[in-house]
Amino acid sequence: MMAPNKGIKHSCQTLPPDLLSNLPNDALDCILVRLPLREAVRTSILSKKWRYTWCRLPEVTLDETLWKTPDDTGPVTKFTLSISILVGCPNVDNLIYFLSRDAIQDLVLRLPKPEDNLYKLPSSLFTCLQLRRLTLESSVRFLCLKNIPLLAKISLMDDEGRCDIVKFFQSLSTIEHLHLEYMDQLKTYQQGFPLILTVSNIVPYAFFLCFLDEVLCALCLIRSFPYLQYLKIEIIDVNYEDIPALECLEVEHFSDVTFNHLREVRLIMGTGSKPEMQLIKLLLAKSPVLVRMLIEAGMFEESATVQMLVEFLTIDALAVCSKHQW
Amino acid sequence: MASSSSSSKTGLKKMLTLKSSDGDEFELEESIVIQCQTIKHMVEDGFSLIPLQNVDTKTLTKIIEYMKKHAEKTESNKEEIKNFNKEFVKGSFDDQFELVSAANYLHINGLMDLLCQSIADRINNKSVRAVREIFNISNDYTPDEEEKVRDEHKWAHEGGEFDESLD
Repeated sequence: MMAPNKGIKHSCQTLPPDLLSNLPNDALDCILVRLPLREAVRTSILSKKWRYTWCRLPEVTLDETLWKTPDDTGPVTKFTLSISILVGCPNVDNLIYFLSRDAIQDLVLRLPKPEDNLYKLPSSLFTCLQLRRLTLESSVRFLCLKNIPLLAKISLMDDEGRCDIVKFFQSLSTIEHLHLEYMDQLKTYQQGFPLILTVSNIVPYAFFLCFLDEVLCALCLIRSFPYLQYLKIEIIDVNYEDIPALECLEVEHFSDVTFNHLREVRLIMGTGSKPEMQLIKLLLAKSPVLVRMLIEAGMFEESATVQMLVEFLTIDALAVCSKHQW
Repeated sequence: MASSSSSSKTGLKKMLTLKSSDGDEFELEESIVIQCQTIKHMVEDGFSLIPLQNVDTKTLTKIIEYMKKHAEKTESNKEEIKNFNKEFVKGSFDDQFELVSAANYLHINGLMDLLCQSIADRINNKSVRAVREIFNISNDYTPDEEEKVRDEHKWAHEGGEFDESLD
């Protein structure tokens, strides 16, 4: 066996200075990776050399030591995971599983763009019984929310556009608040946007759509939510030659639709193009209980806005509260 | 067992020689040495005398002791191996850090796990003061700088009782 260490314990004299700090980086990583994250982070104040050592961690393990303090052993109800540099998503599954056993109510997942494979959310996410708000800024393959009974608010930002949007909408049932951003793939569903979403079981009273670059997309979606109470649309990059959109936006095409619950609309305009104007007119015509419409200028010039507002005020007697911002 | 396939063909156990940085030579069965990834690759490249310029005799002796014991690993002697591991990491700091460097260089994964876990256990939940003292890390932050670094990750440094002992 080992020679006894001369009866001297941890005396400075027996140690050449700082053997630990002088280990090769990969050996140090091996040590830090075996510590809970909190412990690894705490090494940053050992000395200057240690300040960023933990940042190299090739693997991160999160466990309850991260948020549990002796006084508070309650369940985690809100959790935000924001990862932008990892290529894959190691251990995210385990983490979600861990949170799903707990009473997670509010989950924010901001995951890096996948290189090849889309991240497949673990099934444990889809059975979080207490989950009320889900924010997902990530390109995922599949989202099925029908087994999350309390889910009321969902934000989805998927600029890779690879989530199966039809299935996603089909799985919404109790949702009250829907926020979609950068959902490019909505374009694919232009004319034939599936109104499978039978309206009756979806009652989102707040509905955000951001950065849809086709008014038409916005429209197809809105059609699917006749119980809408609050609507916000932000439009960028509108195609002026969008003739099909123009036709589609004619009021006659909406003889079967009335937004009987829509009380407030906030529009952040793109270029003030015709399709956008049509959309405003349509909303005004089809929303009998509308009390407020807030129009914010996006990219177009002041004169255009004023012109536009004049036009509206003459076409409809509805109470239009408008405002522009620069 | 996979390791016996080469020997069963020849009827002879294939031997390898490891040479420490002090020039001492150790003859070992190939089946023992291939726990070490670096050497395994050299063996695959046809080497039978393997010079280890970064590993001195004292450290190499310990590493061979580890590899021999772990080559005996079966379903029935788990407890024995566990006790062996426990004793193995009881050495002085000098020796341990030598071993970590060598195990890292030689890519002996099991040994690396064992040693790093042992070091991590000594850091875990210790106060910063205690860790500095145990490992003889000199604090080169000014008090202001240290406060600033502490503030960067306040959550990690707060809300817990940290162990001040030097075990």
